[in-house]
Amino acid sequence: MKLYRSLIYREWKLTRRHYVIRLIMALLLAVLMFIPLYSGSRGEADADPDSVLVLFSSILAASTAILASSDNDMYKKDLLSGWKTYSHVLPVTANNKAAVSTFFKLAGFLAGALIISVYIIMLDSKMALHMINLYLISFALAFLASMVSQFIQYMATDKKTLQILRTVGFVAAMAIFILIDSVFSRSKAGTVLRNSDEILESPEHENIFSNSFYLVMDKLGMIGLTVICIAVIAGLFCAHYKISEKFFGRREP
Amino acid sequence: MNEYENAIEIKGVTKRYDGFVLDNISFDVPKGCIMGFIGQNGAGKTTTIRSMLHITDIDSGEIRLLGLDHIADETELKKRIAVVFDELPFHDIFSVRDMAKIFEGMYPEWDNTAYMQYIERFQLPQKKKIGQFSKGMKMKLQIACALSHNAELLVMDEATTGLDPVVRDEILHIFMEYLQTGERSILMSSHITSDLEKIADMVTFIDKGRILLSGYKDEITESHGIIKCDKDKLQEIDPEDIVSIRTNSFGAEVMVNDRESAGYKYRDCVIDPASLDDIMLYYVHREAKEWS
Repeated sequence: MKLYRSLIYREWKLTRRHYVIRLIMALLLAVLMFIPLYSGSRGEADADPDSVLVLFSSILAASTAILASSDNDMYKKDLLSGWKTYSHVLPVTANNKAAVSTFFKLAGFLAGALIISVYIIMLDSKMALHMINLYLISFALAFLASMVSQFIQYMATDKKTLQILRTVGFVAAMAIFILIDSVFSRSKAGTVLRNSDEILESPEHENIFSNSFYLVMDKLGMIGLTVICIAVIAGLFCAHYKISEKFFGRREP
Repeated sequence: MNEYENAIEIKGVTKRYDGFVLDNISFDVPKGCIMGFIGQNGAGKTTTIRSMLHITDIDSGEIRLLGLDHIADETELKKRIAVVFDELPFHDIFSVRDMAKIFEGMYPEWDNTAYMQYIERFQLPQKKKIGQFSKGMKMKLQIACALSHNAELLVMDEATTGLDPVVRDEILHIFMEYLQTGERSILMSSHITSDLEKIADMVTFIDKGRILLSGYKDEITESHGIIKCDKDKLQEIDPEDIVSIRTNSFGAEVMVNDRESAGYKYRDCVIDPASLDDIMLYYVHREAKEWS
């Protein structure tokens, strides 16, 4: 236990600025989303209050998830300081290092979930499940992209290759988002969004938009979706631990 | 704790890189000894140390530290060894106190009192960030950390390089104190042979990935000598006795590897004692035989 306390202390000292900045950003975002809803000012007079609530809550859930899952740059810091090499001469196993790295990801996930929960409680929202699911989906996607980017970086052995691989990692993470976007755009709701210009010209556009909106809302409000998301995120955490362990155990060339 | 005779046993270790091979090297460091590991830059000192510490994998061979296998018993072993690199591998934002908090959880035998005594002795500021330390202060901090968990084996890779003579002397003095129990051993790689002349009991010379010599320092320095002669006399010296020849405008300086025997064979020549520096220099040029 003392070993983990030391490792967590080290990582926290090095990354606390990263987490504090992201926490402030998430809180600021929550406040910005909360003010118009709380004050009753919900934009244009003809805007549907529910859709404004959905929009604001969705932005908050997705943004918080992205902030919570972002990479804390520990690998870069350790590689550049020489600690990565030095850590091989310490009585710390790859298993210990992977556990701490995963712990920080988990802490980010829980902190994000806490912000979302506070937001739900304060708004006394009917959309609690929708927002939770949206947070879980966004976290899973952002976590996956962050993992791909992070593990590509882990292949770097020096400053020069790190810079190249960080760029490759960023491109790979973007590619995942583009891939997900293309899958979503083939769905019913995605097709509506893609063809929104044409639909707007149709006299029945309100119905069409409304139908697709409720379709998405119906699906987001399913408890089954929550279970699936939690299972996927648990799987991602396990994958993160196992892959980190493999990378941390790898010796230098 | 296990019994062992040699703190380090390296047998037939080979490690291949593009353009460099650590070629089937073997040497031992007996318990209680300071071994100087000498070689010019790029000779293979750091590769040997990295292999020994399992920072890198070896292609073949066997390494045992403190009587334990360097891979199978890695975690247990690393609680009992300490390593000092030429550059401080700690993050700049940490302070002396932070390092104590980090290491006390990692090493079961971490001694905070001993650590703070070293910090006071080295006059290192406790709250200042490491990034603001001078090179000498950084090295002292690394050494304080290395000596504060009762390590039985201390491995140093060019630890005194770049330090001024006063700091180097202070550090060498601390290493001597550290060895007083007779239970601890040091492997110290350096190309500054004067440091090793002062403290090493044994030396190992490495060049181009191969071990040239390994043994007790006094035996090695006593067995080697430099014959100063003119070029005519040079022809009389048996090539078997010669390590290499340094020529100059007045004649030649010949290193021989059996000074006693050379003394009998070449009675009319002056044979000077050889320093570690000389031995390294003449062995590095052994393939050219004659150099200037």
